[in-house]
Amino acid sequence: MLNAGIAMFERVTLFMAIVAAGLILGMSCWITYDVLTRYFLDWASPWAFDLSEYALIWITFLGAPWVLLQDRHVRIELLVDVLPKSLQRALGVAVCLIAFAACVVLAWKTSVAALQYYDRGIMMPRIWRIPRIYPYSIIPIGSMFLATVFLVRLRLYVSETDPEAALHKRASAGQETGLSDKSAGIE
Amino acid sequence: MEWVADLALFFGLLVAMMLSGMPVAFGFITLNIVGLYLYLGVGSLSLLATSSFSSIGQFSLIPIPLFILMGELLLRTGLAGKTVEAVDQWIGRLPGRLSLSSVGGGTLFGALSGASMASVAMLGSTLVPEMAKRGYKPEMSVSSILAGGGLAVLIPPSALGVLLGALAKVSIAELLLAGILPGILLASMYFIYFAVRAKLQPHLAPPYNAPSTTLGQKLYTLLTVSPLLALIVVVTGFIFLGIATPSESAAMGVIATLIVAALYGRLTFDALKKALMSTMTTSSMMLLVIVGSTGFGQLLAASGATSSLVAWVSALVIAPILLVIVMQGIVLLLGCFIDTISIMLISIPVFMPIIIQLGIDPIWFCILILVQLELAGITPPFGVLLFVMKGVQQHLKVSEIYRAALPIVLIQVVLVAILMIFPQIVTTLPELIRN
Repeated sequence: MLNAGIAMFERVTLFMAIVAAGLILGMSCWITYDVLTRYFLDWASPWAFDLSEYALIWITFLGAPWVLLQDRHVRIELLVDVLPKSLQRALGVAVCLIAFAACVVLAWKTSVAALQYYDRGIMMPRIWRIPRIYPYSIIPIGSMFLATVFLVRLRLYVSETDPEAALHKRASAGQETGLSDKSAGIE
Repeated sequence: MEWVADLALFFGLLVAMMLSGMPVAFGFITLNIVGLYLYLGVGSLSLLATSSFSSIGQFSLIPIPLFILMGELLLRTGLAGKTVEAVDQWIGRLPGRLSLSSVGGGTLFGALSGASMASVAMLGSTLVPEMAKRGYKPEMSVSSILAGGGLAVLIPPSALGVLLGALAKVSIAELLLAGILPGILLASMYFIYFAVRAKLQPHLAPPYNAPSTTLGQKLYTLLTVSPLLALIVVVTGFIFLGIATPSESAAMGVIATLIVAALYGRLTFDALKKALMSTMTTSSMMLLVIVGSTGFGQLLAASGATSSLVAWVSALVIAPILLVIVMQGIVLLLGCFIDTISIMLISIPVFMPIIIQLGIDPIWFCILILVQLELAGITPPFGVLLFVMKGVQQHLKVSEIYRAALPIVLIQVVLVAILMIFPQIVTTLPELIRN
């Protein structure tokens, strides 16, 4: 039951990540459209600028939970790697609990703000006037997903015999499938 | 001196969280929550709501995903390899030609993508076996690839440059352009080094009879890669001429890359899917890191630690240039242990207010930091590019890779010295567009 739930959760995060990837391509298209129409047709599309900024927020919080599930968020393993397995596990559990709490606080505070924006009908103070809740809503949603991912990681730290190795395996599995590739990351 | 205790607490907590293996972005977010609660009370936690929105909803950050996507597309469609082939033909029969090819390929691919890990992985997996077959020793092969790969950080488009510019709050366009001349200078220094070393120690890079190419063949190769060269013009040229902002240039660069890949018949759905997912992974990670680090900068400012530190440093009776050297030393030291992005996040919020206060050109300083970050990537024992190299060439010993990295480290130190003595190398191009 729990495993089926986690599998479902992982599928949802993958879907969110695919939408985020699509947004990156979409962003390239609409910005190019804006530049070309502005230069050749003298026809400005102020929404393109605003939409791109909002897309960055959506890309970040849509993609982050899946990236965290794949253990692809940058972290320093310098000390962790040299610790004995038992300490690695204890540290991993503590880290998951602290990060979970931080994500819950983030989700809580951003949800409160989102509800206020919704209740008061606050609009973005831009040329392209849309309710602030549209670009904003992904932050509390993404934060809740991130908190849940830390619970999934916590389970891994509790149940796996070598949790750090299991996380490495996840990260490299992502690389092999080409769904994500550390070697092609930026530096 | 209460601010000293505050700074020590912030950095102590930060280091503890980073060393615990917590993903860096979440370490910052946790620290922000604790800091806000301790210094400004529970009510201030609502600042998280506004800062998480405003920190990444910025048009100037758009080149981060788009430059990465350009590089990914070039890599996944196999177009990146074409640049190396072209450079190789043009180099001809110079001593250590494969090493020179890798520096040249790295420069060109760097100019196309701005991803040094991708560059090292690509050059490492294609050129190292070729060099080993020709009897090249790691001193020449691995060394040249680390050199070529690292150039990507400096030569625009550089996603890391955009991130640095955003954190340091300087003009992204000026920062990108400022990297061009130092990047070309560094590539030239590498060229001279490898050619001279191959001449003096031929056993490290045995000369061989490379298939000779006629001028006609060379021109034909140039013609076949000219669409790739056009990409550089689209991205860098548009920024330089003021036709488009870096964000707009990056978007057009992506579309142009897609068109070029399609023209070469290399644009497959599989390549596009892999490039997009990989871009999303890196971008989402970097942008979340910005969410955390922006809050950290605000926390330092809100607690009064930043202003006190700036006031304290300003009152010191030492030459500003010495402070710049100390700051670079700190970056380099951090680089021996932690990754490039983390170094920027820790140091920039503290360094930049001091730099501004001292009246030092922030663009010049940022370029020095970029070179140091590049250096950090190849500095033993933990430089990340060294491990990428080990990853693509498993048979090499780590000690061999370390030895190969040392001359490259020294050349970059020389570059830093040159840039400090002749800041015009950095400032000329940005001043041109400013005027």
